[in-house]
Amino acid sequence: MNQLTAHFFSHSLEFLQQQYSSFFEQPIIQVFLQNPEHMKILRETLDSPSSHNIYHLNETFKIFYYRAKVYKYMCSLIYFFSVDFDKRARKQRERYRMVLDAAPRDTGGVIDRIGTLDLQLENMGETNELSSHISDEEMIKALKNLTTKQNLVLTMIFSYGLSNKEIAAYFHESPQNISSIRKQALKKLRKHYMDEVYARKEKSHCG
Amino acid sequence: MDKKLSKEELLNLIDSLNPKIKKSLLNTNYQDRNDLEQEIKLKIIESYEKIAAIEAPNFEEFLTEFLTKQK
Repeated sequence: MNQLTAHFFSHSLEFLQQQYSSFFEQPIIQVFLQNPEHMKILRETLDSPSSHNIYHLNETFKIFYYRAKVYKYMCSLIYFFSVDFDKRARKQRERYRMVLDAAPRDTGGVIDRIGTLDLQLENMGETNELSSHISDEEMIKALKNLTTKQNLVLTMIFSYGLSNKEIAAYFHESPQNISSIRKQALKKLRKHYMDEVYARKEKSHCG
Repeated sequence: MDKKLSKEELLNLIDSLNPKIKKSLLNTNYQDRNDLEQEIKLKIIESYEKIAAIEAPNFEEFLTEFLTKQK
């Protein structure tokens, strides 16, 4: 123990809180002392600053501080990694666009190389409506209940992966409006599902 | 009590951070979200060594540092 800390431990808690108020204002110390267990350890140590008590306080604080650091580390890791991941994914998409009908250089587009397409496949490519991706009958019914615009917006979002901004540019509207249309449409779908499907399931299960 | 994190604790910590992870998924396209979730968890587990190597001061060390900085 060095002089500075020896001086610190020779006072009562109340005195210290006045004298070293800026120390107790440190966020880590504040959170540390919020735990009654930790507060008790500190009080005990100040009452009788034996080397055992001080050691106990030191170790408890060390573990606490370590946990806090790990938590912080992981939180920033998650955040920055997700941002980075998105950047990488964007770059990838930008660089390797899926071009089907344009000729890259001398060769024809992919579509020419595919040769004769069978009709069903061709139709599938043409209709990219949401209902063509869905096998659930109730869901298809629910989709039919939406307005044309709601349907179109959902198709653009989920089939083509367009952003609100891009769709807004298409309709000459604000992105906020697109966002609310999407929200309403999803709400409608969810409501339909809850009302129809769950009610029926409950009936068939309960009698 | 061992101050370093055991692997079980790390997994528990990842579980407790799940809401944070879910929130960070909003940073990317909805098609990539499952990939991202998996990659984040993988990344955390991969950085176990780094996390275990984080150093924390004990109470006295923290206090000394604070007091000397004040002067």
